[in-house]
Amino acid sequence: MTYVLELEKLESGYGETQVLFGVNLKARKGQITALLGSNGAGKSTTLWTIMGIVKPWGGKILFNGEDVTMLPPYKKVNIGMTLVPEGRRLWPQLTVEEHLIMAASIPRSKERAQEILEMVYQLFPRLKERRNQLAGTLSGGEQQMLAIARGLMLNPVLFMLDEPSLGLAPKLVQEIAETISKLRDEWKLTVLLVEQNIHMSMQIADYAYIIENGRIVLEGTVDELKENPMVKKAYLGL
Amino acid sequence: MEFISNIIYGLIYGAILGAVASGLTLIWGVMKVVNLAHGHLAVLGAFLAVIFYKYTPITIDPSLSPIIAFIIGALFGIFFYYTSLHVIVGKAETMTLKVEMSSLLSTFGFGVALYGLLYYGSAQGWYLQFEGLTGWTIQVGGKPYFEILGVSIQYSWLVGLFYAVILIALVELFLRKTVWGLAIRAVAQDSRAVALTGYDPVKVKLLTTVLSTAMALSAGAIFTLYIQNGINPDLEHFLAPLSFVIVVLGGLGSVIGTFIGGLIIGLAYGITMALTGTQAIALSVSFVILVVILLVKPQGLFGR
Repeated sequence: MTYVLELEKLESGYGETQVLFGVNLKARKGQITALLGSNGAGKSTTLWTIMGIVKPWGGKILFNGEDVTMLPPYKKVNIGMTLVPEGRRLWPQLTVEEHLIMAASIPRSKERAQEILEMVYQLFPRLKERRNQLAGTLSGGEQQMLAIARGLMLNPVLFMLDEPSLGLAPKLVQEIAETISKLRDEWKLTVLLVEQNIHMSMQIADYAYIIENGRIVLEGTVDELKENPMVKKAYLGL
Repeated sequence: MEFISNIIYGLIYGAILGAVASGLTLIWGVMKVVNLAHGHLAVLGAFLAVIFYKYTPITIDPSLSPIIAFIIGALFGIFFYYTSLHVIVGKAETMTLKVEMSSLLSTFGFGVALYGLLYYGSAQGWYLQFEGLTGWTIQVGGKPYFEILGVSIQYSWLVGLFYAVILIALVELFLRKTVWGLAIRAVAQDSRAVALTGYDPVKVKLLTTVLSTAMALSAGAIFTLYIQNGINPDLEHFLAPLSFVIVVLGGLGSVIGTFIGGLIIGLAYGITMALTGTQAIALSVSFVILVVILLVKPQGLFGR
């Protein structure tokens, strides 16, 4: 098994408050790895720390076997690490197309830009229809599509998503789940999915970690976890 | 005929004022830094134009000074960014009102320091003016001006107009057609997302400041092509408010709006001159126009 991303005893936090206490996690190549947990467990902080937006306090981040612990965020993007952040974080005054152009213009994706753009428009025909519309005027579902599309334009190897289902209607959650599966099956991306929506994640993920209070408390293949009594009780409500 | 002359002079003047304001459009309209040093930076550019002509071993023709002022302005912009802005905007994720207000204070401080320096220079006897230097004006056929339909126009004004249009076209192209232009617009809206899209937000902010400063200095040099004498630090008291009026009038962040805004203010000056024979109340007239336009269209002429 090859790992695209490996976290070794990762520690970080904000100011004086430590949030992560030695997180060990691996993202398997070509699979969807889910990081699950409740509010405030440290899921988003893990992603921010992986991207270098929050500086790691200790531990190591390996990407394709290379130590990238202290690289600044924009350099990480240029080696193929992409994060679709929580709350989408679009630029409301820029059009759909401007979002995509900006992402496609980094050195990493420049040469493949046209090709990826066509694939992205194929994945989200709706964005093509709205390409001249300001991002701030899109609906919630469309905004999530645009956030994912912007990430895809960066020509990623590792695709991380922070709560893509947040604030979406159940039907749209299902669509996003299908899209993420496609990214693994058709785009051949390695996905790290962070979610509170356990049902949706268990449905598409191959391997999962459960985080509580900044520590990984449980890990296993999705089939294993589904049978785990603790998961059944605490997360699946069975 | 005199009325028409005043209108034409006003329009030329307005285009040049638009150029002075265009740097502010970039740093304030787009990046949301309320740059109160903008007027002082323009005055510095005007000073440079005179210094190049008068006080350097090799005399540099004022018609070239906007280019040189642009280059020096770019270097000065790096200094300006790291002394006044980096601490405040460097790590700011979004340009909130709080960040805007902090930038207002720090650039105000920088402006006052620059003013003091220029004022000190003037008091030391380098009260800089082009007076008695009529020889520098661009002459064609032994005359510094030409007449068309009874309106006489100085050649140096035409050069100034030429530079003004080039400068404004340059920003417009930069903002609309380059990725860095997109990045500048994005960085003011969400700078963390810019980092996650593979750009260094600090580099984007530095670039914006550098470009805006270069434009301010260059526009100051262009301004000397129009007024030609009486370059002094107090020019700021006139250039800064007008720049803010023009940027708001045209609509925050719209470069074309800035150009049109400049023309409107220039026209106001021309018409005031034609009607009253003096420009004394033209500044007040400009503000009246601003208020009226904002009542009708609060986001400015081309704002969205």
